[in-house]
Amino acid sequence: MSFSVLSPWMLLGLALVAGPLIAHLTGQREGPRVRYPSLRFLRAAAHRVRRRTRVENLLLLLLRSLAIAALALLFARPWISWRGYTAAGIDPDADTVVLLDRSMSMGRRAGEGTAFDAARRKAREALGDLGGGRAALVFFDGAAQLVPPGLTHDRNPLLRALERAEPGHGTTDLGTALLRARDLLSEAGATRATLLVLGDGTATEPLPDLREGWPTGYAVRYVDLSQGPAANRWFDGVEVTPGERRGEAARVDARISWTGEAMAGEAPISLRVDGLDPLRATASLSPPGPAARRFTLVEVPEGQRSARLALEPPDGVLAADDERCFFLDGQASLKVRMVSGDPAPSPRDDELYYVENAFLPRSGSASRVTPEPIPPADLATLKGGRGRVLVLADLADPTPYAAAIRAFVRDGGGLLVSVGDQVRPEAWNEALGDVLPARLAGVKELGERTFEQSPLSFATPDLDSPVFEVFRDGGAGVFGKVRFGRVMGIEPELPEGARVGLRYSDGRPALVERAVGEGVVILFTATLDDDWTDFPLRSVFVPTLHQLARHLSGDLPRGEGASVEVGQAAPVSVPPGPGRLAVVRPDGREDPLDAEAADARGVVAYRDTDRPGLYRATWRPEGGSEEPREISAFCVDPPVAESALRPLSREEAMARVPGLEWSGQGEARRKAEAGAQVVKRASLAPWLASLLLIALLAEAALVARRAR
Amino acid sequence: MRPGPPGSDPAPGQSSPLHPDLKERVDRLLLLARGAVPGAGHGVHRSARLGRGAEFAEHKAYSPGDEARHLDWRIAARSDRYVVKRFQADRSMVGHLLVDASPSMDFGHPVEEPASPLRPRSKWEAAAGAAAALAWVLLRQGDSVSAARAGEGAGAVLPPRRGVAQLPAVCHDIARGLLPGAAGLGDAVGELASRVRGRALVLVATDALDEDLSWIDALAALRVRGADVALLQVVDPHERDFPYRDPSRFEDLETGEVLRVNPRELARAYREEFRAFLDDVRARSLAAGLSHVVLDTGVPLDASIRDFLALRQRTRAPRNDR
Repeated sequence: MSFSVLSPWMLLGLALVAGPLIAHLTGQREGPRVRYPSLRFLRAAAHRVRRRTRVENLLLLLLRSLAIAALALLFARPWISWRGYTAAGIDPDADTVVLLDRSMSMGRRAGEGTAFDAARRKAREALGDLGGGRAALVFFDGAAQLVPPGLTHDRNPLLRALERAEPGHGTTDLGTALLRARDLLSEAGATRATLLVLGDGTATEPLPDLREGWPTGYAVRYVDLSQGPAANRWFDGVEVTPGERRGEAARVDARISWTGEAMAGEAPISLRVDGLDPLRATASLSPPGPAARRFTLVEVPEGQRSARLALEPPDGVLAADDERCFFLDGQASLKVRMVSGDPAPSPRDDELYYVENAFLPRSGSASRVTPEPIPPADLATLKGGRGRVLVLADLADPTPYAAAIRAFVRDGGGLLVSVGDQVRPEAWNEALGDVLPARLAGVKELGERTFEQSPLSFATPDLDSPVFEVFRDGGAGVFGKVRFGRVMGIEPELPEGARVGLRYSDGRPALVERAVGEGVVILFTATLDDDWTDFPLRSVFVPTLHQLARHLSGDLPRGEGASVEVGQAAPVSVPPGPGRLAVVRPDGREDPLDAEAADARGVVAYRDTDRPGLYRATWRPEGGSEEPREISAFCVDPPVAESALRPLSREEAMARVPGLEWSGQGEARRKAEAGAQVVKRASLAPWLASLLLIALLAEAALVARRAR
Repeated sequence: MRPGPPGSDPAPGQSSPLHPDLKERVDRLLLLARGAVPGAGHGVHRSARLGRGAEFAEHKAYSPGDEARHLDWRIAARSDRYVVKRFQADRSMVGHLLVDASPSMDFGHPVEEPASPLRPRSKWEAAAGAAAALAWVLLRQGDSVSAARAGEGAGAVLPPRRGVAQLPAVCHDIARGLLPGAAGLGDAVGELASRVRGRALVLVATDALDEDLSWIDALAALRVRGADVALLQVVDPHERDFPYRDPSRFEDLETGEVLRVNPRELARAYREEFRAFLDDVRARSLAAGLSHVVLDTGVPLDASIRDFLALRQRTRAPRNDR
């Protein structure tokens, strides 16, 4: 240990210590003369207090000398330095960036707490060890987050951020974090710096080659805080398929991966489907790879159901990957009432012929849609409400039923209007102009009036939209082959809340949708039979009609309930019309979403997917019911790559990161003791100030005691 | 205001210890002996004998020779017996004033100017002023007064005389001031004892700083001989409270010896020592049958004298104490 001062000439002040010493040694000062009646009592008093006074005088001398010495030393700004060991041997005088891994794998146990807890302790220790250099703190997982204010001499904001930090559920991208720290240091003009990485020795993203352009003064120390060999079980994936045998409603195939010998063996798992009793099974985990376990469901309740696979009991390594959320599509039975505006004695010529056949369940079909043609007169007694769907095909004049149709929609019903030769646009505009997604403008004929030679077809649909997402895996190209000989023109200005769901190849709207009250109205600007188009003859007709029916029934948006990985944006479809959109997270927090920010497809991206689990989107229409209704849901999965606890190769890391030193938790100390000692420094100013204060207080107390 | 008697003004070059204001304030006070006085001549003190006086003493059966004017006619009318009333005779006495003139009496705390004439500037002023005022009280009530400064020889003692004409002589005698190098109080008290005859009033004003306090025993002997002895112990507030803060050189007024002292170090111990000294003098005085009063120079003289006289009034012996 050595002692040094920043202002040595201030040490001259130590000579002042001689003052009290001389005064003490040379005795009391003369003082004025006082003529006094008798010295008798003074002598007696002096005799009595002699011993105590002598001790007090010595004490006062000591305290005063101490105070003067402390003051002189304080002005000299002294430091002590000693050979010591800092966290992973960092240089306390250089600038330091602490990179703290907060990826999901940091949540695994390491000794008393998690690896993240150990990293936090280590970071605190490292920040405390630092001397005159600046420090910064970066949390990283798949992205790097710099803690404000960046590189600073003030450790307090960094320590406070450390206390508040929690482990996340993201992946590990060390390369991005190192580059962020390097850029930070370069921008701050640091020539000598230490990048202290506190992680668990795993990575999910490949480490880039950082050798080029890496400043020579920047040393990287990686402290691996993992304990013991990596071992974990996790759900690698889940696949839901329809049942293939009689009595099978669906099959759920769970894939379970594992790493580490300790995890081999039987793994009890459970499946919980919303509305069903839990199912339990055991997967056998044995080398060389993942195991699969199938659950067969004899029934799936109507509607899209959330489901959860879970390891029971959890493996105790990473809680987040011991569960897996997904959806089961138990389609509801849906009755679609249909009114034909162009009935014909021959069913083949009826306007509803293709629609009815499209909805009729075939043997082995999973469809639960039942068509129900009704005469127009029944429209007067139609009841609205969510889940009810009405198709008006080529109805000439809705005027007699306008009030009932309007009430049906406003109460939550779904209405599909198709046109044809019978439709009188002016009558529709007059009777239901306030409900239609667009005002009809008259029939537009194309080519030779026959669709075979017409150049008009559908444009490619938006496969992210709920209606057309079923064509992602194929069939989207068929829309371009559909031909139209005639279409119904609509007025170019759409009412508020209306949007185009599908266009023709020339840009005219083919499907226009509008939210009305609690319900939805879709206008198809062509026929649903083969009078104007060959659409009913195409393969995409049946699935499109099914999707439209489900969409109108309010059941379809759940179809987007895909799963995304932690950190990825999840699409949320915004229902037509004004309203309030929100996402309820797995932790119960409700995040409002700006419906106005929806793109042309009516989709808003929800990006705060930082926690695995089930997220539910809710919608409350403006002026509608008070309680928001759930419109969609999606699962956020933990990153599988993170669950694998894939170790970061030391050799590879050392080859790609210049000057990288790698140490384990206990290894850091051993390595430091083996020669990576650094000079630690500490200012004595706080101690001297305390000493000065104590000396002055004691001196004052002593003098006050005498004066009493 | 009654004019002072001729001759009470100070002699040229000397200031009178009895300021006119003080004299006026003590003008109507009485200083009574604590017991009966055997002296001759009329005065205000109770006599050991019955005789002429204002205060009724007893009845006595009439016998020939008794003065008929002393017959109690009321009793004669009621009981047909003849009795005469007898009265306590009033007598005068001799007051012996002894004032300590040693250099230690030349000490006083600073007084804010303009100071009241009744506020003594030193222990000596307090002692001299009190002696002169008490002399005036005694002379006014018809007693004889003798005065002396402790340390003077027997020849310098002012012999006792009655009448207000004695006051200038007393003042003059006291106004001669302190006696540097004066001997201890013991000699002065011994000399005084040789002059006191019978029961008398002896007033000693001193700071009692002599290390040898055997003079108190000598005063006790006077008390045994029938004298009424009062000790006025003069104390200055600075001497008692020791308010000094800065290191100083303290010079003994009597010996000239110098002692360097840091008052902060020993103030508390000094106060304890001085309090013990005061308690000692008081205890010895009371044990010797003396009246002991502390004359504080911080208190106006007239108030101190009133307190002294009131104290004596309270502690006066009962009427039948003979």
